[in-house]
Amino acid sequence: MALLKEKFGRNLNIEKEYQAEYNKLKEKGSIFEEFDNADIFMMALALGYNASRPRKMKKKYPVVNLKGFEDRDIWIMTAIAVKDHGLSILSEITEIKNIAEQYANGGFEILLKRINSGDSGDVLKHIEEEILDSLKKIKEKF
Amino acid sequence: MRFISVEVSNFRQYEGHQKIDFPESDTKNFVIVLGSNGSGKTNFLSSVVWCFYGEEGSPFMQSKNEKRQGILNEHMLESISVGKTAIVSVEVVLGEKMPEIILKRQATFKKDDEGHAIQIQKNFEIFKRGPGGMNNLPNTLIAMNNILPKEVKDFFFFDGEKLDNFFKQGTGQNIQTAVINVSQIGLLELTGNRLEAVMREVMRTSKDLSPESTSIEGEISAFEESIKTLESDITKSQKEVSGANDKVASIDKFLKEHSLPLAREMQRRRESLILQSKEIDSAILRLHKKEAGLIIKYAPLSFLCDVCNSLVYRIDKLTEEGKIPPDIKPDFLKKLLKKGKCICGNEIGKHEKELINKLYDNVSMNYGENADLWQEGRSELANSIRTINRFKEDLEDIHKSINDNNMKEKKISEDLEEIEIKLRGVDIEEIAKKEEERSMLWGAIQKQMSQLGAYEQSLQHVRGRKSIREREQKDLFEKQEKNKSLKKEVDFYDESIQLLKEVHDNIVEDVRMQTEKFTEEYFFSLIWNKSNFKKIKIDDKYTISIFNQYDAECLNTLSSGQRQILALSFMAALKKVSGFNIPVIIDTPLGRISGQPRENIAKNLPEYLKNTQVVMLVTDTEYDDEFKDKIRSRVGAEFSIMLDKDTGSSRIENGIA
Repeated sequence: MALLKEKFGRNLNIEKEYQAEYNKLKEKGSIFEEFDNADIFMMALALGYNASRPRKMKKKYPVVNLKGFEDRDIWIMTAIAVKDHGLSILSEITEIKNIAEQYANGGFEILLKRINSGDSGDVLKHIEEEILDSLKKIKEKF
Repeated sequence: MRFISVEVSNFRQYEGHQKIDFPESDTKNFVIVLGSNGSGKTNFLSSVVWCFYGEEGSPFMQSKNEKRQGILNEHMLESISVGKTAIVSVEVVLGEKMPEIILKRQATFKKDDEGHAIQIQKNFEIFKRGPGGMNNLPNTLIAMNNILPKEVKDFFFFDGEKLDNFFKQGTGQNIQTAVINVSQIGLLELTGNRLEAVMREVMRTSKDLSPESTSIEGEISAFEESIKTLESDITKSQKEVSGANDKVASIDKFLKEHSLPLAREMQRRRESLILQSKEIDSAILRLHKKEAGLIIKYAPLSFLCDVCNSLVYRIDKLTEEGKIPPDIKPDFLKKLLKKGKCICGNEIGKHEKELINKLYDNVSMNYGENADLWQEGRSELANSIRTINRFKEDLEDIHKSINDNNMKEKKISEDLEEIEIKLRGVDIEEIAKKEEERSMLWGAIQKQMSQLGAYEQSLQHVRGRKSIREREQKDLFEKQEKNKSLKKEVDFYDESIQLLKEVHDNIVEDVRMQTEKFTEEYFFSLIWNKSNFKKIKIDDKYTISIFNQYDAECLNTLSSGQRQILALSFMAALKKVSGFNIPVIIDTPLGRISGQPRENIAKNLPEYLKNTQVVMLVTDTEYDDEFKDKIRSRVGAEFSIMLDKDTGSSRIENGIA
């Protein structure tokens, strides 16, 4: 296992009242049908960070198993924490997790709104377009 | 528990009183009721279901006659004068050595001026053995829920031939419904809904609702109404699809067995094309899932690419500045200080200690402590960023494959259309008519399926939007200082609802796993070519999969006989998991099975249903000599249904002629 992932422990938290929604998103026909909580968390994190919307949790619920994350996901969370709090954050793993959890919490609401406003095909198509758009911008930049 | 007797009076074909007394036997638990097609086997099954529930319908035992009649025997109706009445009744006695439960259902019909039977009275009684003898139970609804709830009846009373459709159509929904029904979690769902209603009521009645809160409340109520409507539309739609599929299956059977070679050939060709089309559909579905996977995996990285690049840049800068990796590892310095000895073995003096401490602080401050981590991060992120560009190529590959499959699908559709045109142009009117009907039904099924998809999508949206509004409502409620005391109460309801949901999910999951286990066990005891199959899986999305010896999923390529074995195994598994001690009635259990498979069923069926009385309603082609030989030792009684062609009425006789 990668060094940083080992330090992250076993689980990440979500807002307790979102637990049912997380499960619903993995039901047949939903966009995360063949995925796990870690994938939903990462999508929510990306949306939450891009919308600058960290949101504190009222009641934490540790259901996002670290096993579901790839090593790069852990480093994406760290990159966000470093951007907000500087390089010294690496010595405070709990804080990196907190920051990621809060952005994912804020982003989850955005994700739900998107999902509930179109069918799963539409939502994915929309995200696909956004990825292609991001890629275009990355290409222009570098 | 077993059937001690079933008495049918004036129900459909059964004019007058017809009674079967079932013999008691621990080992001979099979009862054979033999009857030719149309003699009234299915109506015997219907009469038992009617006695239990006052209705006959079930997806697995619809009447084989397209024209549905009333339940009063037609000959009886003809023989009475206008204004006179006739009674239909069925009595089922259940028990072991003596009656434990008696179910009696009666309906009185009056003949109207146009000669129709109008139901004017109905009566249902349940008697149960108690300390003082048989007691009439006051609440038949509760009593029936304890004897055999309506939701699970289909796993006890069913038509073997119709079972095939269970796994032919989209299986997920059917299996999920079956597992949920067997789980008997209706009460939990009801309690959860009630608690939700009470919680909302508490929030609603809190003093001075803000205008925003009132408006959200209105929206939530509207969502609830929409959910109810959509759920009912979905059930209706599913029933229509199921009914139409049954009709299509019976037309297909007619064409496949027709004496005209062209009809048989076209039907066989159509079945092969439909199979190919299903395989293509599965391939397209897999590709769409792959596409979704690609999007979901790449999205976070591409949306956060700037942040990731920024960290890579900062790590590179630290490296350039020589801050990482450090000349001396902080861990090494820490160890020296702890040991108090140098690597040469000399003691570290006070002055050296101060120097080492200074060096340690310097190295740590300069990120040296986490140098290995930073290098890991740089490598992970830089590699990931490099892979982003593959997204477009991978996506294009998937789109191309989807397109290729769509082209194949189009070709199959054209071939199917050609078959339809040929069959509709056949000189034999019956075939042309049936094909025309099939075409209409097929069109209606496709339309209904797409409607069903739209309903399900809407339901998902409305439920999602309702959840969001409910959370917003709760947030508003909690923000208001005056609601502080009520908050505890609301929190309690909320916690209870979550707990109920967890219990609900755990039960369903447990039932799903048990069903999977028993289905596999029964399937392997019944199937003839065991070595061709490896395992059966019912996943958490309730999709049943059967894997062959090469680990490939092969549900779609099972023969109809194999599919029926799978369905029988699934039914037996659900019956076992449900835990209800009621006999089983199977109509036409071997309709699609012949040869070796039939012998295997005869040999193995009694084994896995050994503690259950099984009534098999069979035709003489099903109950042939070979089957009889194999099952003889387990058959406790044989009965025949004799049809009087003049009156159209049937009677039940002991033994087989």
